[in-house]
Amino acid sequence: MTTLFFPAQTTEGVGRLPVPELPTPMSPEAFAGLANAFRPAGLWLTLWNPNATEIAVDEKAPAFWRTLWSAKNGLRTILADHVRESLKNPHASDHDQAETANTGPLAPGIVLEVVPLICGARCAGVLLAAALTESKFDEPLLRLCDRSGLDKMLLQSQARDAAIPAGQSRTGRFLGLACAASQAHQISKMKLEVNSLTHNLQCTYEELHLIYQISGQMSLANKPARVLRGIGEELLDVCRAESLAFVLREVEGMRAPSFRAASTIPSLEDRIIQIGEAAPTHDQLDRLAECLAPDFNDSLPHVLINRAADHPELAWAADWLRHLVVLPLWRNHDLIGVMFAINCNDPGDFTSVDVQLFRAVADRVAPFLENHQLYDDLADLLMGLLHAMVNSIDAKDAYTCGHSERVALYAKTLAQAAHLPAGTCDRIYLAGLLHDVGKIGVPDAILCKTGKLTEDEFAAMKKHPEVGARILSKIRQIKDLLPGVMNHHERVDGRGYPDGLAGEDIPLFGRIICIADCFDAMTTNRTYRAAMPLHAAVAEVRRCSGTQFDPHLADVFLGLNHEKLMADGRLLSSEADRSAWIHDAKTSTGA
Amino acid sequence: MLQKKILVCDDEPHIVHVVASKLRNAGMEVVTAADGQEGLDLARLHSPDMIFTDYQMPLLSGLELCAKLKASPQTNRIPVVMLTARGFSLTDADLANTNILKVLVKPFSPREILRTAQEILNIEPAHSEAASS
Repeated sequence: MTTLFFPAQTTEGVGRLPVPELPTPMSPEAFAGLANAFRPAGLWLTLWNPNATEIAVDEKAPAFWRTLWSAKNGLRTILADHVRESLKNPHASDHDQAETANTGPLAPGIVLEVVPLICGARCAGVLLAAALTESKFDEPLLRLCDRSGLDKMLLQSQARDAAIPAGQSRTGRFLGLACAASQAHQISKMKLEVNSLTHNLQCTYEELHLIYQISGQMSLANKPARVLRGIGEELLDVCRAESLAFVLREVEGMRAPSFRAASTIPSLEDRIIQIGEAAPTHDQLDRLAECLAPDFNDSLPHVLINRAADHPELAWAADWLRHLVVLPLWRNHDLIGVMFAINCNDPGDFTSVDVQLFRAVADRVAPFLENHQLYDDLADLLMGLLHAMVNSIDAKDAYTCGHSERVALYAKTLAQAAHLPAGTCDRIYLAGLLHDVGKIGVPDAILCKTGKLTEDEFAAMKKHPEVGARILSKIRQIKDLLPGVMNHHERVDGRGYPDGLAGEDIPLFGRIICIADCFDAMTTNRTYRAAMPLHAAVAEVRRCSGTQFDPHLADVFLGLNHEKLMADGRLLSSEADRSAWIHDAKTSTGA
Repeated sequence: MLQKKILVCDDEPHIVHVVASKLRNAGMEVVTAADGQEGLDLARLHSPDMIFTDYQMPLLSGLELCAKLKASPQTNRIPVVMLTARGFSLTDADLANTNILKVLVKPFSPREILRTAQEILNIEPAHSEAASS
């Protein structure tokens, strides 16, 4: 019995649906079951395709049938003709015809019954039953014996075993067959449907599993490029593409200077993410995106190209591009990027099932990118506001212009050199930025005084850490920065202010910012003195280690590259100059 | 190579279908059971090379099934992979009393099911698509 018509489904990928190559009237198992059931009643069954080629033959049949079947010019040809003839009008060949028993070309003696296997409006095939009703047979069969070179005596003796026991109703037998055949056909069809559903379910499970996996990766704390790479690798594992890629658009618009590298304009690696060893180069992907991306709109949700060679605009990529699926990534109505699936790694093409899987991923990636953008925007806004606030305070005094920015940079650099966690270093940067916010409460006359401060004036000046901490205390998100603001004028020998804390009792943020603050004060011009040379400032940090400064942190600071540190600081100052006009404007109106 | 026999035990027919068809298509023989008790009976009858079982099942839970398998010399060496709902975890005692080698969380990946079976049965994953002949 042939198994040709139930091809095993060995497809590994998610995207392919099982499509039987020919309509299948009945599974081999179902046919064998029918043949076994009707053999004792003298029926010999054969199964045929709608195009009258045989699919299966009852091979356990009595020798009579096997002899006739295997003979040259034997039953095979005659039955095929008969099937072809009856298929010309399959619906007419119904049970009432069994009454007059379709005698066919072998009469008398052999009765043929054609049972069409109807599936809806279509004939899926034919079950042909033959029975030998008399053990003696004459002319037509004898002629067949002659034509096929069969031994008449042998066939005659085999016929005695194959003949139907007398007294059984022919019509009833055939009626039972028609009913059973129809059921077997339906069951086979349902099994195929179950297989197909199961396969679909497998795809859905795979997809669901993928979605779970990738949602776990979509953390706003990770850089988008890293998240997209992780997602792409998960997808590549289950889809039929050779490679995948995300190409994000350059983000336009104003961006405040920020310590978070991720929120500056993306570098090439952040903008084009390739997944898979066979992935095209950055240039190729950029060009693909340029070629295809502008076409997207609401009525073109994706592009599916299965023969890239047919597209003149892709002629430049003909060497490496065969199949391509392009999905747009939208943020509201702006295209923020595209996702590519490149070259199907199975024989065959990308189908709508593949596209559906890619879309499931793209539909989750787009909001993630959007959220990430919003998150970055918020962070940028916060940073922008903080910078604006401290710059405007620094601008009260032309000499301290850019001071807070530099202290923030120095403090962060020192924290990094002390091997503090990256998150802590970022917080120290912010604390450095805000450490002098309290100076907003110090009168300009004191801040900008060129001569020595009186005792009262100095007392007013010494209030700025507390004032700053009080101003910021209402902002829940920066509570952890307050010790840096409050305690950056403490000394490890306990002679500092405002609390007179000593040694390790001074919060870490305070001890770090203290060094950064003093170093910047020494290396820049002040109203009351000119800047010290760098070597003198470094020597001063060394001299005061253990009295004013935490000795461990001072050691770390002395190990830094001070020239580079100051050069970086000067870069910041030139940016801070932008805010210096505030000071100029103020002094000119004041004059 | 001798065809490997796997018992798949779950009261949800679609899970059984998904798992069984994935394994059959890779050339393995699959026996299916719809509850823990049937799973136990079939495990004793067929001595499968490994078992995939659900946790929550009528008559006998997956864990009870595994404990009974472990308790009988005839079935105490059959490796088991358990399929569970999200957020479920086995205690060390559960693992000690059973032969559960791995727990896969629903919705699992059918490919992962096949990979797991191949790992446990020491089968090289077939690269060709030929399992039909």
